[in-house]
Amino acid sequence: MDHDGCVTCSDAGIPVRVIFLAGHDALCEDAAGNRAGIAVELVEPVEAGEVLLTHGGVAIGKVKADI
Amino acid sequence: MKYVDEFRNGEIARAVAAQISSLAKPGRHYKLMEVCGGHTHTIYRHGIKDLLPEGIELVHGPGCPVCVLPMGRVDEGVAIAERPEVIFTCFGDMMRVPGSRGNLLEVKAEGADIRMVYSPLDALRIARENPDREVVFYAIGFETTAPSTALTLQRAKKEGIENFSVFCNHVTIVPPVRALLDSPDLRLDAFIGPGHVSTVIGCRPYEFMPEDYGKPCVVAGFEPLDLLQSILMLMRQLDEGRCEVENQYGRVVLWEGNLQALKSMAEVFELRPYFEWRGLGFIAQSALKLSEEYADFDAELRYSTPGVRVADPKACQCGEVLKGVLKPHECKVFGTACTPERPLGALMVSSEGACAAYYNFGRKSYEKVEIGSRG
Repeated sequence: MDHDGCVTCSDAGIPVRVIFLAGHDALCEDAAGNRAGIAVELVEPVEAGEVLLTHGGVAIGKVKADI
Repeated sequence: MKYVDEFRNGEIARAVAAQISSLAKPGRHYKLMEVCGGHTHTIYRHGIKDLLPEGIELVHGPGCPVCVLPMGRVDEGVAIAERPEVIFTCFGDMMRVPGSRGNLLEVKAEGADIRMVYSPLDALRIARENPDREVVFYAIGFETTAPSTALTLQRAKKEGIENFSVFCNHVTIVPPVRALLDSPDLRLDAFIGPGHVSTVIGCRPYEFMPEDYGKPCVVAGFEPLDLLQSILMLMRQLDEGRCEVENQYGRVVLWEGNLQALKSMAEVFELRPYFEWRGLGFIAQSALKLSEEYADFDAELRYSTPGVRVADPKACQCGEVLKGVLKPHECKVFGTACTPERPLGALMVSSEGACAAYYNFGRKSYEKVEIGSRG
């Protein structure tokens, strides 16, 4: 997804929008249009359209802003 | 607001910088420390320092989890990776961190099965796809990353996956910051708090800074305007004689943090009694290991890692840079014996290490020109 450099060294948190949910995973899209499956257990409940903050393939928070 | 565009507006940045300048008292030197590799990167990539008045100095603390890992832990990772039955998985920047016997990339070139992953969940997938091999994930990172490892282990346990283990090197942010504040080498005025660590742990853990040390802290986001606003908030506190924890990154960080993530971490991890940090020595209760409930997934137990201690190369001054005592360009091997292509220490390896950031974005300020030095 949209990030340069090592995700953990940079403490990267990539904002992504939820496209659809499948169990505890969600297909999400970042601002550049890249899509990936993200684990969402740690921020449930989640709805399609919400913006999540992801780190290393896992959502760790929710973002109150558009992307 | 659109997440990126508005947070990089040059006009607003200059306006905020002007407000910061108006609060800086003439003749006073302000030292603000940030403890996050991502903040270091933003500061250099977007030229934040150039917008600030000369009296405000930004100091970089030990916020890069790759950079603070001592060489001995790298050697132990290499020893596990060399085992023929192991598929060793790790994040990108760990591949080139030098150990005393080489780095993971060199060991891979010699035939070890070492694979770069973006997520510990990728490592778990590899374990599912290779049931006859042992898959080890080299877990590093602060509290931002620890939840992803915790979640992965919870999934592994639920699925009954037995060929997966974690070599855990997760560290926590509060103890090293306390160690820095206790250090006589630094005279810091305030802290810029790590935004994504705080997404997990919240803002309350930083309350010891104003309460015990009289230093204000503002939890900051990662866009240029986030950092500038955070610096403005700190300067306002210093100007008004206030001293408290504030949250600039409210669009993401909740004061109480992510309670579900904290619960996951509490189930999977426990605190180590002490852990060695490059440049800071041993710090009590500053790192995580797997809890007893998850002992079956602990690579240190599965492979009996000996716990070696290895001193940094003599020329390496990573320790002083990590503590903010030296700027990267003040290290005697910066840019000469130590470059991103041939790093001597971890701060030049990690893309968000202070030295790599300086090398890639900051050297123009420190070029020296010698005129007529020889006859």
